[in-house]
Amino acid sequence: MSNKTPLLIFAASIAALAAITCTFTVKQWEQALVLQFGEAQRVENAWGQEADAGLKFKLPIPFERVIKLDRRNLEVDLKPVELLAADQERLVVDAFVRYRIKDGVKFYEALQNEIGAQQKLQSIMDSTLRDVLGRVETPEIIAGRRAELMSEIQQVSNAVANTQRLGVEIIDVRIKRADLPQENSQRVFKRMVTQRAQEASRIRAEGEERAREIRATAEKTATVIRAEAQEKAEVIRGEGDKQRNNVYAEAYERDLDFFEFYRTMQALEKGIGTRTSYVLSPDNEFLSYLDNQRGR
Amino acid sequence: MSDNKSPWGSSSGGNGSGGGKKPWGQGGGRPDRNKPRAGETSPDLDNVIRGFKNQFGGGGGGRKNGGGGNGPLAKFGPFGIFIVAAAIWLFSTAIYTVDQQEEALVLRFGEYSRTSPPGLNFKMPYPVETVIKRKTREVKKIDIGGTARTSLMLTGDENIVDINFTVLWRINDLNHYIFNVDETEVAVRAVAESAMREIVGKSELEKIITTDRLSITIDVRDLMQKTLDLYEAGVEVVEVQLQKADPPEAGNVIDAFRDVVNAAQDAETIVNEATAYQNNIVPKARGEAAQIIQDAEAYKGRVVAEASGEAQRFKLVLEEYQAAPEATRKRMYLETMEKVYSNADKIILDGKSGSGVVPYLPLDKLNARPKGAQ
Repeated sequence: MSNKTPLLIFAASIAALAAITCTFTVKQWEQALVLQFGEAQRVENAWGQEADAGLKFKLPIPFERVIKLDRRNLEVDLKPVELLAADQERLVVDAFVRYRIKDGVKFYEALQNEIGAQQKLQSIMDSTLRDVLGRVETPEIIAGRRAELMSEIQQVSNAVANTQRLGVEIIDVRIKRADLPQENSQRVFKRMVTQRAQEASRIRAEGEERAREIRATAEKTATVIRAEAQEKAEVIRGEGDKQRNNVYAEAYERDLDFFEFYRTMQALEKGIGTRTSYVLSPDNEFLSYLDNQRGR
Repeated sequence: MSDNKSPWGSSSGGNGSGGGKKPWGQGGGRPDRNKPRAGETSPDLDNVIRGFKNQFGGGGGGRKNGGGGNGPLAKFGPFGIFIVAAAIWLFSTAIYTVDQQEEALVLRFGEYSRTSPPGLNFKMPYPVETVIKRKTREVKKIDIGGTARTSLMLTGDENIVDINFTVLWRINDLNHYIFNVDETEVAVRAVAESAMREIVGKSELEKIITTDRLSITIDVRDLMQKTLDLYEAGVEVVEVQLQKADPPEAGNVIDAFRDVVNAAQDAETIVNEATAYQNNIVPKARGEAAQIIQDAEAYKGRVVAEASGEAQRFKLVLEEYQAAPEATRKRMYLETMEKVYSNADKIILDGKSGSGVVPYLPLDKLNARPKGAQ
């Protein structure tokens, strides 16, 4: 009985050892590169093939060892690049790249790991951005053909990656920010301020002009109203005068001679006032009875 | 049943270490189960452990009999304790709960096996099967644009606008979310910034800060969704909200914008003043006009009435005169003269007599006399 135990122990431990050194797990989002004596042999759960994660087998170290690579869509956040657009305008472009390890073997040979990939992609993107964007003018980068340009950058850099056999696929390149450098921003602010100031003056001037017009029209209208009234008034007065003259004429013409006398008498009464001093001749008709009771 | 069935046997000194699974260390084989600090246990736990020890044959692995305990598992000794402990622990990894808000992915040796519904679930213990849980119902929020670098954007008409916005998103496909994209939250933020700037870059400043705010958020949402779907990220962009879309504060720009509004108000004010002036003087003029005409009418009326009156008077006098012309005439003359001379100074000079007299009229004295004197 006791003799079998050490054997069992031995067997069990061998089994355990085997289990540990000859198996490995590949998670759903991982690819596993199996190296045989340092040379790339195969990739488990490789991108581009049907997903096949889980428990895998290999020869123990030092025969075979496993390098785990990511199977996912990975990001490289690029450092901002200052470049010159075709219209000599400086731009600071901050972009990010999404890539995927599509060939684990090539990737390991060329880049080893994600850090290596980051550095390599940074330099590729740097030159690609300058290349592609340096050929177009600023408005196109910012607005007109932004999407198109990003697509072009993605294609160009992907081609470069293939040419250099990096084993990566560049899925997408997006420009997060394409801005003017600080000094140029100040220039834009000044321009915006000037534009607005002009607009403000224009609005105020238009307002004043309209106000002037209203006032002028109002005054003209007032003057016209008064003048027309004046005109009418003159006519009315004229009518009055005419009527008056007619009335007088009609009355006085009945006896012009008497009228002359009558009117003179009135005039004398009114016209010669208290301040007048008279020097009368005794021949004055009024005094005709003065000398003689029978008159002259 | 003897203790010797245990592969380790009590006589081996109960080192209990092997297989690399759990280093128990030397000495005594006192199992300090699942406690990080050996030898420091609470009094209650001490009792529990002592109880276990009594059950399983004591801690002294060095004893030949593997412990004189009476428990059913006493024969297994310290290794038995280890086995049981491991078993309990493994069993605990085989149970897991999923919240109502969550989804759980079960991986078998790392390979996706199935998705678990909410509630209590079972799986194969670690390391065969593992679980990844995420809150998939929960709407997550990202705020973008607190700093000048992230909030100032170039517009389509070469202006700069200051934008703060919020993105609401959630996981709508957990498999994709976990397996397809690395650091999905970071990706969402980066895509958001890029999408907003792309849309803003196509729009005019005036519209951005006024009428197009809503359509911009819709366009950004759509663009983000399209991009994230391209990555198969398993993310749904629920909503994009513009917190702020203004002219930049720097360089007095926003003041200049406010001034335009002020200008419009100023213009309106002076036009209103002019209109008020108009509404004042035109009616006033009409009033004056009416007055002028009224005066004229009054004049006409008066003048005609006076004339009528005088004419009528004349006619009456004429009738009287025509009835007795000489008498009337004489009478009128005398009456008039009476009136005329009564109020005046008179000097009667006979021109014929006293030719030697030089007429001397002290006119100045005469004129200086008060009225009514004779």
